[in-house]
Amino acid sequence: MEPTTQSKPPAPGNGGTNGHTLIHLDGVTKVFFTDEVETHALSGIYLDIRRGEYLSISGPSGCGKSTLLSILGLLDSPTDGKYTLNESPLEALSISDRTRIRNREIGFIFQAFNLIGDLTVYENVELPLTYRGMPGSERRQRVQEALERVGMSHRVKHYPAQLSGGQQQRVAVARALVGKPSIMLADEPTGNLDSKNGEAVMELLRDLHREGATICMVTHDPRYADFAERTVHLFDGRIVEETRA
Amino acid sequence: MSTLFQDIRFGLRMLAKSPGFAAVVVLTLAIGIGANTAIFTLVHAVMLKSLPVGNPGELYRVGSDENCCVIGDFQDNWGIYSYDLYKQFRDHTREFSELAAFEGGRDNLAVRRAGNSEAPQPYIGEFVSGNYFQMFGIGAFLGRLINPDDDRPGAPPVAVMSYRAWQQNFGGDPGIVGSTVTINTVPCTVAGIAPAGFYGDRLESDPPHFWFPIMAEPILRGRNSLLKHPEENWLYVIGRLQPGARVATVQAKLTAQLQHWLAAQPNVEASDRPNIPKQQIALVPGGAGVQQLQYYAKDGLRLLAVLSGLVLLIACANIANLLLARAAARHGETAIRAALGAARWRMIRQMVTESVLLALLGGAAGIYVAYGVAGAIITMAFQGARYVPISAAPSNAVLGFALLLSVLTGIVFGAAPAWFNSRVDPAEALRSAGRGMVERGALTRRSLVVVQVALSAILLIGAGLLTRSLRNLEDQQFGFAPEGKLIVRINPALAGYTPEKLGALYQQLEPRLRLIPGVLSAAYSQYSPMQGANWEDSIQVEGHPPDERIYASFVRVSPHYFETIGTPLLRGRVIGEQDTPTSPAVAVVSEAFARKYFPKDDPIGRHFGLETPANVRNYEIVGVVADAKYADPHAPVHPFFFLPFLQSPKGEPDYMVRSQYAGAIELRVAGKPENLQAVVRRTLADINPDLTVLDMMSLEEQVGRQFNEERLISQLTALFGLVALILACVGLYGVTAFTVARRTNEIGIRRALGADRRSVLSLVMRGVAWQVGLGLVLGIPLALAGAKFLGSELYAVRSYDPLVVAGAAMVLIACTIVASLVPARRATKIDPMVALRYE
Repeated sequence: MEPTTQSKPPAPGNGGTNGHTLIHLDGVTKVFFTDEVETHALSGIYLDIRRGEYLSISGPSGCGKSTLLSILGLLDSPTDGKYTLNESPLEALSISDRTRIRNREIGFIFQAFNLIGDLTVYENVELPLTYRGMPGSERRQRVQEALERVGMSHRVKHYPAQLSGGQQQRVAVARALVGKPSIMLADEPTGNLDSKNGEAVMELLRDLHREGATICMVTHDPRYADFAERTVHLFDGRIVEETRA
Repeated sequence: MSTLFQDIRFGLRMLAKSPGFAAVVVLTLAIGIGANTAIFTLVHAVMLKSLPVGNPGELYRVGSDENCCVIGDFQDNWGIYSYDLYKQFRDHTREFSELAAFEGGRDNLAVRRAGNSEAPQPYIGEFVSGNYFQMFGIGAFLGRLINPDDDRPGAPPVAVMSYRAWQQNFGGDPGIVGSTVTINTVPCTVAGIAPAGFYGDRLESDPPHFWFPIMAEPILRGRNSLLKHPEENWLYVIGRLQPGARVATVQAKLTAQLQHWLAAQPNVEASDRPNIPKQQIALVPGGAGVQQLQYYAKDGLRLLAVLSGLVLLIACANIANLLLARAAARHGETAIRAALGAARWRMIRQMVTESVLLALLGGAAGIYVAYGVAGAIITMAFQGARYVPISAAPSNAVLGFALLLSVLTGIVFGAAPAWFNSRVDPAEALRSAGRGMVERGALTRRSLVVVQVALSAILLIGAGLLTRSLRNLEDQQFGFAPEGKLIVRINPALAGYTPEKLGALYQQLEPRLRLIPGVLSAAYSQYSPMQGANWEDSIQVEGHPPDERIYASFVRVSPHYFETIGTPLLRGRVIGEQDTPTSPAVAVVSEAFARKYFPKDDPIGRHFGLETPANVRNYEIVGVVADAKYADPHAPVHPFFFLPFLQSPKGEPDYMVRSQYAGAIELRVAGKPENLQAVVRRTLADINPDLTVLDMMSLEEQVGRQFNEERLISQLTALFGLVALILACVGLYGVTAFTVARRTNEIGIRRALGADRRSVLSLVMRGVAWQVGLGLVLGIPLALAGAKFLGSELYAVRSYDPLVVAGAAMVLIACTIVASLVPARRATKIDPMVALRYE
């Protein structure tokens, strides 16, 4: 591990891995307004994520990890600063454009899996593709590939409630990668799993990264943070440290 | 398209997963859509459907007025004509490829198959022109139909039988065609059977069983014939226009012909001649035939359509509320979909698809409800009818309506919940289930309850007003006593009685009937009260100028008549045994008659006569009886005079001979009138086996049939009001229960801080009171505004009757309190410790 600290914008190319910059955050802040109280969730985040990189974000509870992930995932928008994805600025996009980009460029893996209980495994994985308007035959092929990739192709007709937590998270991973997104964002992907299943999911993510996937993972568990090539540490809404594997 | 199928599949799965929810929604919709589809079934069958004839769109009726059945005066807007006038139009209006005439009224017939010794059976017949069936473009089911050759003077009488009569009364025997039946004692050949489904030239209950050529009318009616009376208008006229003929041109031509024809008539009074240029004919689409039923039913159907629409609105509000609550429970799922990139319209589409699926299921169930309700309405509306050619079975149009209504309903009740639920923050997908969830749509839910209460108030107030109106109608003073009376409908003409032979019959009737055990008194009359008949004529009254136009209704009655029906004598004497054909002609008048024409004088001993000044001393008034309602129970009493049978003073118009035929026998009986039916039939058959009983019922039932429409509308409105009340209570219960569940934590905190059960109950009930109060504040003024449109339907009740309004409000308040007490009591039992752990 090679600890560094970051309080200024990183130099272009800084990131620790080879490849082009996929995401560039430039002075991103997020302030929540509740009545007359301002809460600064993020205060000037400068961050590059390169294509093919495996990055983890860590920090104590309330440091802004989830807010940062929401902004990276276009689930929320920054109060200030610039967000560039694939060299396209995203701050001024309409809601429908953000929805479209989220669907095509970003795959989510949630701590609570967030599979839809009334859809089968197959349908859950297929869901992002249906929102994309992809033809049925292509959807079938993609879903099959994704489920085979995570070792869940034998459970296509099962409902989430019929699966173990580890299996559910593998389905969630399949759902995240089925759309071939530019980046997969994982929010505490092992948070609801026991250690054995947690390890298995982390191995799966590492394998996907080795195959070329870009992954950004929020975790507070140092064991799992070590799976990433680079870890940024947040504290009080700022990146206070960056370490590389 | 495949994504739509996905939405449908998912929607069905969600419904299967919540069968209780789906059942409640489908049942609610079945009631709402069913009620509306039932009303549409009737609207379609009564108001929109054409006659089952060839190319009904080409048919035009000469005249738009629905007056019936024999009219001797100018009509201004003409709709019914004499045979001479029909011939005039037929022979001089080339714009019609066919122009047919048919009888305005209906003829009771006494029919017996040749060689059959049993008593003749009552049937209904209609005289039609020889081209009637040709004009309608229909062919015979069996044999042949009436043709122009049958409608020539001297042609042997033939009849066409309806398919229904052939099937039901003659067992579908093909041998009936070409055979002879005795109609009113006259032998008649059955030429053929009309096609199945053909019920004639108008939608009506008990349509004709037989059709006869107009030229057979003098043969079958004898001296009651109208054929050679150009002054008597008794035929409706419908024709098929030639291609290219212009309606306005033909209308003008017909009006000109009418005016010229009237000007040429010698019997038109000099006082009427200046009015000839005002006489008009309208040429109107005739595809639905004569539209008497439509004319009388349209207001009632419109009212029922509005009321059933309100029920559906309440149902929609109720379901929207349920969906809003359900949407809140599925908020997490929606957030995940949004996080995965679902566009908002796509989520709305998926949720509306679920709603439409529910609505379609409700619509399918609603078709069954509609079938049952429409059938019940037809039965209630035509109480006493033997057959009504209106089917409650859903036609393609009705099915289409139900489908369209279901889809629209699904969109209406699904749109608001879908809109609210789709307004989701996708970032919530990152949060744990339940964390950060806010109560959405609370205002909408409460507003929907307010709307339900308001609409329920409208329906309940409407139901209250109509019920009170019906009670006033039924309980009014009719001027006779309906209880304990049996009415027997007869027509001696059908048994071959000529006016000269009537005296012999009448001499036997009263004494023989009075001897029946249980009969307290017996009488007969030209027609009985509330029978649906009315004879009216212009009269000349002593002391009034000859040119004063005075009209009064009259009835010929036998001795003991007033005693039998229970109309009190006020002055003088009643018609008695002493009033014979050879004694001086006398009359008894009603109180209204005396008040109107002898306001300051004693009417006893004064005179009046029919039509011309020369007749002014024809009848001497010998008595005054109390006013009684004979025709319209809604209208004020009408001046009436009563004449003895068989008196015919000099100068009396020819048509008065028809009034000598008794049409009803009245019996005052001890016990239930219905119990005497068999013995009355036997007694009449003993007097003359050919004397056919056309109908028999208690006077109470005869009066009750006058209120079929009012009773139907009142009962349906009450039913709709009850449904609305139940739905509003269910809605209020649902919202209160949901609110209590949502506020469990808050209530727990309050309890922990020392709130007692009463204050928790008060907290919940305050919310209920606001919703119900606001609903009433909105609903009552709307109901009062709407009640003004009920004006014509109300009898002796103000549209703002405070008792009805207060009663409806009290019922609504009481029911809603009961409905909300269950969840409110649940709130009082919340354990602070459990509540504080509640998430």
